[in-house]
Amino acid sequence: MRAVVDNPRPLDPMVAAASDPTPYFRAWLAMRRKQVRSEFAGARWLSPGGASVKWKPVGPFGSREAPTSPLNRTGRLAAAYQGQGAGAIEEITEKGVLWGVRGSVHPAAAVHRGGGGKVLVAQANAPERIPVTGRMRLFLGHKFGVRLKSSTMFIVIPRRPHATDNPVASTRGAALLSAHVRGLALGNAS
Amino acid sequence: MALSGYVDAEHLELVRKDGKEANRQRAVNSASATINSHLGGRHAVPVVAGDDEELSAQLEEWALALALYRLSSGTPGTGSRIGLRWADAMRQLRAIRDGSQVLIGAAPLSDPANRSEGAVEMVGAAGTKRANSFPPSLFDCERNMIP
Repeated sequence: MRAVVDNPRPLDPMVAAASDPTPYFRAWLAMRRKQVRSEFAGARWLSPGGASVKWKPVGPFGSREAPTSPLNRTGRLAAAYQGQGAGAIEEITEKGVLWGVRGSVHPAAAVHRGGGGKVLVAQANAPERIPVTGRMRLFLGHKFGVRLKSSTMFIVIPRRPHATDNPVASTRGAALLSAHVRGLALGNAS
Repeated sequence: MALSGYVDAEHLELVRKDGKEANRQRAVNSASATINSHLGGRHAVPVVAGDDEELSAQLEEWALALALYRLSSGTPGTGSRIGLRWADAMRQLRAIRDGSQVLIGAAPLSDPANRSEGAVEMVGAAGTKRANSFPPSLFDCERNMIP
């Protein structure tokens, strides 16, 4: 039998601490950025099930050589996730926290990450299929020297997901939240 | 103010009886399993050794933190925008404090022995009262509260 257990600690201090969640948000953001740093450095992602899964390697494309590490040809995308350079998003208010990269600056970011919202394994395993247009054929020929066959209808891009929720992140997030509402120092999560 | 509990009463009784660490660990494991079954995760519940009341309090707080975290971790924005949304979690925390909602319905409240102050009824998102019944789990609250 389960019993109702009285919590001897009053909730008022927790509610008061939670009314200003911004220190928690900053610690959470540092924790999530650390995860993304690790994913980009190791060319892998932490899946929703908690596994560490290698990204698919990137091959050469026409006249363009393969990068030494996927998603790291220029380093700008990885830097933006860390809040540096163009396209970085970091909005922290009492209502919530929003971070990531702007699609207007990094148009392929959503394709790489796996689409909108939470990225699940099924989404991550389904490559993006982009229909080929006449304009695209001209661009690829001019920019990379790639001449697509007339029968090629789609360009297929494997996903390299990152910054997704997973058991480690949610446990750490809850631990930070627990510490914050109990008035404990959050420490350096980065 | 009380939250509905996760700690198996039998296990707590064992802790009281002989104070063995193994029984304390059993209580923690039992609580972890209950928390995870409700919150759908694989969380090792970190608690610091203390007396059984302290243990209960820590487990409750950990469960509360996990529940609030899940409630806030809907993803605003799309594509490569990731975030936490705080309003629902804050509303839930205030509701628990004020006694209009309980955290998790592990205890059948139809049994008067399981009732305690502040844990006697659940007010759903639409304002419908579901008194003296199995209160919905926080998952249910989550489904109700997040559009």
